[in-house]
Amino acid sequence: MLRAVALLFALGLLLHLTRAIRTTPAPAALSVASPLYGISDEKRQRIFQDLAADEPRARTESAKKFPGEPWSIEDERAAHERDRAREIAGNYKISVTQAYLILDEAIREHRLYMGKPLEGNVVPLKPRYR
Amino acid sequence: MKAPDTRRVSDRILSLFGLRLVLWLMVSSALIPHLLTHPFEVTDHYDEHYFYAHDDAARISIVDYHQIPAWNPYYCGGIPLAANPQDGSLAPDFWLRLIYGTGPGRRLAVLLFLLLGLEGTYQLARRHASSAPAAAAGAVIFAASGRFFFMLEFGWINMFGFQLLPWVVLGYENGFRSWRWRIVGGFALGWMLLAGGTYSTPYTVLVLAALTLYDTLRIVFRPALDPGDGIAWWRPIWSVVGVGFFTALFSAAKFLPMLAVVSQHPRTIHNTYSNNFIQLIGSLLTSHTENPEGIAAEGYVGLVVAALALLSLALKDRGAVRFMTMVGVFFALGMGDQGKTSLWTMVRNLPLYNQLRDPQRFTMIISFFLALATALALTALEDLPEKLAHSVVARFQAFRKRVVSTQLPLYVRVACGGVGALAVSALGYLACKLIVLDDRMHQTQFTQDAPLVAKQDFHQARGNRWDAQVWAPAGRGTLQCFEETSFTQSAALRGDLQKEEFSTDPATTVDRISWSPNRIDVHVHAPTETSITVNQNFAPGWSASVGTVTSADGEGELTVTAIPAGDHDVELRYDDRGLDFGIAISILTTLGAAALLALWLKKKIDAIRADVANADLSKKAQIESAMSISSPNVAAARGAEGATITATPEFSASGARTTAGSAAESLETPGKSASNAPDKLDSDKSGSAT
Repeated sequence: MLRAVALLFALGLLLHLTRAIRTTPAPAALSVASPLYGISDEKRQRIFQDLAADEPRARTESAKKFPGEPWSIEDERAAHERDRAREIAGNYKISVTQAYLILDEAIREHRLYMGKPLEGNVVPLKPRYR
Repeated sequence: MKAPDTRRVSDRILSLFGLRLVLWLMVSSALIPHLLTHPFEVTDHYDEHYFYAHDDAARISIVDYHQIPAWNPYYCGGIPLAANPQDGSLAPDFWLRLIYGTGPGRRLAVLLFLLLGLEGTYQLARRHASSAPAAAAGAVIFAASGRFFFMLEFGWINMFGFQLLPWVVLGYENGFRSWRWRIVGGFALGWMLLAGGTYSTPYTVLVLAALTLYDTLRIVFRPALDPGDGIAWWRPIWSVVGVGFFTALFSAAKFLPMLAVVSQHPRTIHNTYSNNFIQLIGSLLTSHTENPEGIAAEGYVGLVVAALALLSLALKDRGAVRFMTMVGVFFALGMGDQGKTSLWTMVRNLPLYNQLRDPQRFTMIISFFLALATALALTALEDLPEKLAHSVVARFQAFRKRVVSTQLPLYVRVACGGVGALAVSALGYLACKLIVLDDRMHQTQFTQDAPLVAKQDFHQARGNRWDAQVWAPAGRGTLQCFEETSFTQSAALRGDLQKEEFSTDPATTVDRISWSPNRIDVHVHAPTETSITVNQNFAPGWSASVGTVTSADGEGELTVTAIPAGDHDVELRYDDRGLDFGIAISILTTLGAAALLALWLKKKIDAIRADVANADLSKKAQIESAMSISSPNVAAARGAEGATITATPEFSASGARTTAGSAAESLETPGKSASNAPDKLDSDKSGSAT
């Protein structure tokens, strides 16, 4: 009897402690209808311009940091992009997912920044081992 | 191996599984308060993003597309999913991701592993005759040791498989005589591998190897101390082989396809890794609060634990010597490459072990054995007051030339036990508190916003591996990626295509009919024989219903050639036969083991029922017998009042004595009910220990 009571109490506590985990609803899905991702065309264009503005500098700095290592340069550029995406997400009060999807949309549509589209491919995986 | 001593009142209290579960839940929620809130947020660390992304890819394959998680098109342009050594999508804890979603499921998996680690370490410590409070302290010390929280911050849920280590060791030790425990050990080790335990599995294999060697040598070179301990020298080897056999069966779903991957794409470690003595000691004794940099605090257990573990050596206890020997062995391994004769260098010559790095991760194993040794030391401290009191009483009785009693009066023993339990609780609390207060655990780790779902057609994106978690739920694959395993990524893949399936022949049209991770259906219209390209990596598991799947030099994109002229619906499929075969073996093994355990449980329940029925019959017979004896007494007593008074109480007193005696026995006699009391699985052990 005592065992059953203790076990029931424990199960009750387990359910109580995990309640937030089990019952918190997932964030709402992003709209893929117009306006795409719930953000107006103009705002998406501004966000893309802001994201793209960092890329030339990121590529230059990455090449300096990892001379002769193409994958590492690409990876470092991506690290710069991550920082920029988070910063812009904060500035525009959007999620990090939205920031990346706006960049993806612009790259797919070959939108121009300073007269050129952003590079659409990456250096294949070949990590440095150091 | 001694049976646990359950004469202490504290042992009886904690023998209630429900009560222990309450304790473990309180400890877990105190250790990581932020774990159980805001379930969709992720930590800031890119490793968390990597593992989250892989988990989410597998969940999407299973839940959204009803497919086996064989291929991950969302990462690197497409790589094997379940066969990836670090993937955990076939582990039992992955069900939590499937039911509650990736984020909440990962948090619940951590909680599950913590609970299993706490209970497993408790059971193991109890098996080695630790008192219940001491075993509980040992459990908290291991489950809360620094590396687990280092892992949580990094999102290494796969490494939480280390919490199953005590269950593997229990399976091995109890498996000397019990095949059921070998199954338990095999299941625990198999779970580690299925969970993507790239370190927990090989490290645990080393633990088993070291324990087997130690136990075999001990049996060969040291005679058994008591009849219950006299086992044949080959038993440890037999047990470890059994655990290994069941591990292979349970984890075949991972083991078979993963072997193919690691042999085709071996991970190359170019560097040697070494830690000096001071660094390694520092990582065990210095908390993150004191030193947030370097390897410090990665295996933090604290000074009190280390001191208590060393104290255990003074007990001249075989268990303590065994545990501390293991501490020494794994400390030597943790020091890494110290020359050709160092343990780590020799281990790295073994197949697969040459793909491991960072030997300081052995601090996990060191913490485990330190926790067990600490539990023994705490037990000795708990028993000290009673031993001292008994010694004093015995000397006094000897001085008075009286018979020296074997036991102290009950009230003295209860008082001494209380003092001992309080002392060990205070000391255990101090040891655990130092770990628990390490600020790494209390930092709000889940600071980055939740990845969002966007239901749109799949495309490869240039992507970004540093935030790998955002792509799969948004229907995108990230080409920019990092993998420990050297998968081949095609240089021709692009993240700016309008169509993911296309032909370089302008006269050919390719239209997607349906898309899923393991299967792509397209309609091809071609005036002449043609080929089509899919913007994903080639892998040997791909096949097509029309034409031939190939790739330029094996490193290009996924291409289907020799498609005849005309209109065709082409089905491209990814199949991993090793995975399919392995899943079949794993499922059959699990079902077989469950059936065997169910049969065994049924037998146990039947036996208990039979015992209860026999006991009832016996009691009834005893009462009837007593009544038949007492009746003449009563009749005789009609003439002599005093006899009646004597006869009836004689029966009552006798009955009362019997009951009180058995109760006191089960409460106080060491070892007698020990094997059954601490845990429900120990009922098997009691059978095996005789």
